Amino acid sequence: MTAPETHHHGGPDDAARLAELVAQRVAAGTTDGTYPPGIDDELDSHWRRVASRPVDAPLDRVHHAFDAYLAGAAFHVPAVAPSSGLPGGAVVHKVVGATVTRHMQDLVLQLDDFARHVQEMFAAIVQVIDVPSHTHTQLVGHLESMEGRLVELMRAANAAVTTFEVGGLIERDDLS
Amino acid sequence: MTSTDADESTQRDGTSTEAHLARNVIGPVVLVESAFAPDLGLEVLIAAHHLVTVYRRPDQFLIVTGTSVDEPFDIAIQRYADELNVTRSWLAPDADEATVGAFRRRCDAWFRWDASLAANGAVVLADALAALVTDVPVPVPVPAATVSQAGQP
Repeated sequence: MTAPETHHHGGPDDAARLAELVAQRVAAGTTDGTYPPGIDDELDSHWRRVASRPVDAPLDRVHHAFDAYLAGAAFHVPAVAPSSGLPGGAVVHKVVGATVTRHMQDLVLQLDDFARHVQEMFAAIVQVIDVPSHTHTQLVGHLESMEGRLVELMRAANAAVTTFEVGGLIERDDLS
Repeated sequence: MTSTDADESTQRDGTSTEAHLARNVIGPVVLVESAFAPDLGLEVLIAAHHLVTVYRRPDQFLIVTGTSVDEPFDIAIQRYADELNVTRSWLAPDADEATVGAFRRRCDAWFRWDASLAANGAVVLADALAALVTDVPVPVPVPAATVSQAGQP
């Protein structure tokens, strides 16, 4: 597909043109019947409802934190070079290093075991947070949206009933 | 275009954004540059675009880009657009220069948002937005006297 033809307008020019068009529209009034009556107020109140809702904590931050935790959850005994600048130091390093490493390896096993339990716990928490995928605020939004549509339907139904009743009265009047 | 598409495209460079717009956006495009901040009345712009696409020009597309000042506001304004089912829009806070350049090359009109425009309400702004890119005259209501007097000598 080729790119659509573009018109390279300048920003300030378009801003002035828009202001001019707005002024024309204000002068013309807003009663040409294109839009439902009161739509400005309805849209404004809808925005106020949306803006007043609390913002859900972003779930992606939880996932990033969990990924970072997983990346750093493996422990190991750091290797220490047995070299030394002192006479006999290398031998001491080797002997002491072997003893310390044996104790540290046991500690690392305990830490790995502990990390595995923590990992399982976090994974379970993240899973609970993810399901259901819709957040509380989104659900509130859907409910409000449905409520708004229900109100619109009820208004339309009321208007239809009123028209029907008025029509019935007129017919009765005509008959009498 | 969904907000997911938009997020994905925001990560690309300007050329990819341009190709993305050429591929997915057909119809007149209005680009509005404004900070994403409360009290600027951007919600009126979104509402006006909603009216344009529902009642005037279903193919019109709106792009809003600028510095993000308040993240909760960004979320709220996107949520508002979603709930109004304004699918033909791209809200792009903190877009890089290459992306903004692609927006400007594609758009049919662009202007910097002036908060005073919001004071006129969405209905007034909707007609002005539609007329800005389509050269359709701003609709003028027919006076009632003209209708009632039609056919009279």
